[in-house]
Amino acid sequence: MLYRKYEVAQTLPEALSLLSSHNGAVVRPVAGGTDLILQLHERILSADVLVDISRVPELRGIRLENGQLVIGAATTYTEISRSDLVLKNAFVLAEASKKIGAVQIQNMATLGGNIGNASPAADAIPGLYALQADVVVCGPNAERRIPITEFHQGYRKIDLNPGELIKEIRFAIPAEGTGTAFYKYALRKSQAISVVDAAVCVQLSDGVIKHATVALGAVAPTIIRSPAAESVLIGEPPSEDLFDRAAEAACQDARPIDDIRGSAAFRKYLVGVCTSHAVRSACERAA
Amino acid sequence: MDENNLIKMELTVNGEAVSMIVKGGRRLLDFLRDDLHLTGTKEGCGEGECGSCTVHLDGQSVLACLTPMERAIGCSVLTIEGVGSPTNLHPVQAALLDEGGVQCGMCTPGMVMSALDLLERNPDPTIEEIIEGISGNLCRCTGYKKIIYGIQQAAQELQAASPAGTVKESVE
Repeated sequence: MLYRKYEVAQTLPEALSLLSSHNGAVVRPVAGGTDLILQLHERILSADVLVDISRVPELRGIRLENGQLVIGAATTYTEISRSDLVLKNAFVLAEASKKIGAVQIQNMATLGGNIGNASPAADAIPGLYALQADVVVCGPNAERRIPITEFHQGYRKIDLNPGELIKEIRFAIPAEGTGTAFYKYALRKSQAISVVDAAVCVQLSDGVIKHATVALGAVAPTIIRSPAAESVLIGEPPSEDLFDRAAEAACQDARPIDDIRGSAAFRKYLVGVCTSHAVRSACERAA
Repeated sequence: MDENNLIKMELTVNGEAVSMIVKGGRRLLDFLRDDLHLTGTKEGCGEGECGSCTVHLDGQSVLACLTPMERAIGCSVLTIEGVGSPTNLHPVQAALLDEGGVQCGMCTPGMVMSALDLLERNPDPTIEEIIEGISGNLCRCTGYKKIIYGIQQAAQELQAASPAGTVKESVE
């Protein structure tokens, strides 16, 4: 048995109350289950009670609110990659969603799950760093809004208290003239964990990069921004030479390790490859 | 909570209503194979990599090895047993046989379920789209080409068989 009891929450208050109503028991929320059920099956984690939050309306869907895009935590990658709001305003997230697992995983797995699982190779998170998104968490008494760069505190360490749930992601709609892109290097096109990936937002104004964010995945204990690459880009017109210099700068900010998917040296090289591809695509889309 | 974690599984499987008291806390894959004896759905890797356990849950392809069984309560599940029959194969199944897209057979049920999911969304897929559609399914025998050709053939047959007007707009 993977768990002793399964409870389905219909509303957010009910989900929060179910999460805190089992004294002494290990209670975990489950949405897509693609990480959790595997970790229970392989006994990496244990659980007494699972609280199914996949149908809680407050945690689902994508909407515009006061110039911000809001994505519910239990929204699946299939929903994100097909959303007109995402395709129009945050293409990087649609692009990344199509690279996660394959169709079946995209139908099941959720954005909130990717944030909570906090893998440094999580494919949806670099885009959220590049979009400067906030994570909204809610507990029995209050909501908190935390920049995603602070929500991920360290290797698989997140700023979430017992009894709290990841509710949604929010970010300002990028300004006019912004292009976004995600580029992933993995050993296969599908069903593969990133060796390195990069997500980029650039805003062009009069042919010059006015604003740039560069995020890198799988090269540090968490997803990271690359301030060095960003400062190379800002104030310059897009060119192949600029992309090369941004790639070099990004390599300086990466702190990769050796593991089964690639050596640290190979990853350093790939940071350049991924960064230049992503910056080039973002600039093309911004123009 | 019952001591033995007995739960009532009420759902639709392959178009038929199912209602039974079984042990909870397991995967949808275990419920289908061990309780319903629908052993067409295979366990390959058991960790969401190989696609052998692909079934449709309320019309979407999912991995039964990563789905808690209770998630399916009140839902409609389609497994390979609900697709065609030995004497009346679904066009996708027939085309996989025609093209030699079946060898050991372990991946075939999942492959068929993914192909059906693809063709429902996209009745006229390109080769690239077929490859993407089955990219969550591993086959260690065929090298994929015969499977891809089989799905392409089935798409053409299904397109030819569907009445005018129901076919998705094709690219000009």
